[in-house]
Formats: sequence, structure tokens, C-alpha cells
Amino acid sequence: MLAHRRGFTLAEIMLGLVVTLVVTGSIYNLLLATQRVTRAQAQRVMLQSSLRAGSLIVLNELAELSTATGGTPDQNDVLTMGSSAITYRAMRGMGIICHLPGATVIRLARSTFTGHRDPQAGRDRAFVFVPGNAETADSWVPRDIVTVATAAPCPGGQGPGITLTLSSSPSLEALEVGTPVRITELMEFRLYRADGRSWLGARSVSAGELIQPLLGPLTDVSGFELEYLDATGSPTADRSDVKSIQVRLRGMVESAGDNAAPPEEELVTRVALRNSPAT
Amino acid sequence: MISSSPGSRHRRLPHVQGESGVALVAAVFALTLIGALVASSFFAGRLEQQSGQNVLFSGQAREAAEAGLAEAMATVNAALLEDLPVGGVPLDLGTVAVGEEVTVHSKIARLTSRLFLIRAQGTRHDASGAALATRTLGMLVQLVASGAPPQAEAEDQMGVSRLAERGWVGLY
Repeated sequence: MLAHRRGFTLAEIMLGLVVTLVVTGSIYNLLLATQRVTRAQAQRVMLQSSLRAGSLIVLNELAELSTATGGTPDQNDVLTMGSSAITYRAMRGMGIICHLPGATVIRLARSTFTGHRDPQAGRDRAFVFVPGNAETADSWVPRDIVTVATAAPCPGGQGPGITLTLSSSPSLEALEVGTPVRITELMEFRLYRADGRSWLGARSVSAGELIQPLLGPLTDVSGFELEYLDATGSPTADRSDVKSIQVRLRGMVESAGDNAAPPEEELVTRVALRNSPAT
Repeated sequence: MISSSPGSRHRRLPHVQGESGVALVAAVFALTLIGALVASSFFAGRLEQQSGQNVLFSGQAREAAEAGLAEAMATVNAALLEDLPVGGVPLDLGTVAVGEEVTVHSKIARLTSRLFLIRAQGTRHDASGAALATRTLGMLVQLVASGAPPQAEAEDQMGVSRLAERGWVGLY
């Protein structure tokens, strides 16, 4: 019976094995290449996504800054400006006074308070709006926040309150219920190096924090560039003249593999300072 | 010419049934592999697209809120504001479409005798009307004499002006 069954010759088997090896090798190489491309694509997507997110954070932080040409230090929120670092007075919230229990105590209605977080004593400062009169202009008077309490409610069924005890100087006069109070914090953005790479870092200056990574890795030296522009769009070195800030973020993927230079992506945004009137 | 007889078909059938091979399995495996590669490529692309879309929607909501503030500043007048009670219920300025599937809802509240807060919430909707992104902005405005002070006060001409300092507010 076996003598009548057909089989393969050695040459056929060898040829089949070689063809199979060649095809398998090709598929394996194709898989490796595809995997490399997919990984690179995913890394590039992540890079673009994080650059966009970082750009939005920077934009949201800087858009509310106030500058006033020739104004007082309290009117200018850009404190130091460098090509890859900025220190600024960030807005952290706003509330409306619902009660005035004392000369240095104000209570904000919780229902009207808007911000990322509650005010913090020692870390934040309150800017209280003081309306002008025939002799003086409107102003926002800064005061240190000494204590913060949330136990006492607002009167008249207005619900929970946030009671701030403020420093006594400078004095405030004729405050009335309904007056807005802004909560501010000194912040810093800068390019810094850690673990052999460059990152965009942020820290609360007023809280004495260490720098924390916000976005990265960025390219060395040129990963985070700031340009300060005046009302005409020209670069300016005068902090009180800044009307917009151009932010350039240049990121790179974590690892490119092989010896190839890591791909880079760049995102440029111009932030108009909304509290810096052109005139 | 192809001819067949019942007898010859009968003879060949056992031979065909007896053949073994991996063609179908290999083809299915190859198709699955190619499908997975294409799907992973599409997945990366989709992620990128969604990420970009979210930023776009957020920007649209933000711009709608800005437009709402500008629209409110252009439409409210002193007479309207003077009728508002201090600390009372805000005046609803309504919802306006500012683009395809983008709306803004504005309100104005009286904080003190001369200070007001305009609140504009921009929203980017999907086709079914569900909110994809929202952004709320505020503007502190006040009543001011619209002409030279002595003359304006004499003629009782009042206008609406944003606070010169820190009038724009990001709300959450």
C-alpha cells in the first residue's frame, strides 16, 4: 500500500522550506517595521496632544494678566520676563462680598466664588475693588490673606461663605456688599532641565514650591520661548507695555530608536492679555 | 472539451476529500494580521483627530463666550441696567447661536449701585444638542457719564463701560 502513495522529493521539501523561510522572514520584517512606525506615530500623536494641552494651560494662565503702561507695580501682573521664563501674578479666583463682619474681615458668598480652588492664607493675596470718586480712579487694592475660614455662612440665607481675614494695611474704606474680590498667586513658568532632558516647569512662587514638570520633554534651549509684544505687535522690554505674549513650544518624542534624531514638533501661540487695554 | 461521467467523478471525490492543507488557515491568519495593522494605524489617527477636535471645540466655546461678552456690551444700555436690583436675580440676555452648533448664553447681574457683572457661557454642541465643550467668561462693567463729566451729569447721560483695570474675568 505504501509503495503506491505519492510523497515529496527532498528537493521539493528543501525548496518549500526555503520559500517558507523567505516568506516568514519578510512578514517578520514587515511586522517589525509596522510596529516601529505605529510606535513612532503614537509617540508623535502624544507629543502633539501634550503640546496642545500645554499651550492651552499657558494660554489660560496668561490671558487674564493685567498690564498698564506707566502703571503701579500692583497694576502690572508681569513681574519678571525672560526669553524662557516668566514670573507673573496669576488669577486664582473671584468672589463677591456678602458680608463685612469687621474692618479687616470680608466674607465671600460661596455661591459666587469661582476659581480652581479656595483661597489659601499665606499663599494667595486678595485684590479688593475700590470704586473711584471725583478725585480718584477705580482701583484694586491688594491685601495679604491672613486666615481663611469656611464655617460662618453669609447672612440673609445666601448660603455658605468663605471668610477672609486680611492684613490691615493698606486701609480700605467704604467697602460695600457686592464688591468683587480677586484672588491671586505668584507663579513662574520656565524651561528647566531634569533627568538629562528639558521640561516646561511651573511653580507657585508665593508658596515657595519647587519647580514641577508641566510638559515635556522639550528641545534644549529652544523648547519654551517667550516673546513680549506691545500694542503695535513689536517686541518690548517694558513690563508695563506688554499687550500680548507669543509662546513657542518645541517638543520631541521620548525615544526615536536606532540612532535617528528624535522627531520634533513646534506649536506657536499668541496670547492677548485681556486685561491690558490697548490705550 | 470537458467531459465528465458519474463514474469518473466518483473516482476523484475521495482524492479531493483526502487532501490536507493550511491555505485557509494561513489566509485567515494573514487577513487578521493585516486587519490588526490597519486598525492600529487607524486607532493612532483617530486619537490624533479626537485630541485635535477637543482643542477645537474648547476654542470654539471660548470664542463664543468672548462674542457673548462683546454682544452684551453692545446691546445693554444704562436704562436697562439701572432697573436691575442690587444683588437681585440676574437679567437673562438669552441664548444666541454664533455659529454652527455653537451658542452663547449671557446674563448680567448688578453687584453694587454702579458695578455689574456680565457672564457669558459659550457652548459647542454635537448634532444631538449635547454639550461637547463649554467656557464661561465674565466682564465687570459700570455705569459712567457718557460725555464730559459736568455736562453729562447735568443731562443725566449715562453709558456702560468695562472696568479699565481687571475687567475681564475667567469664570469656572
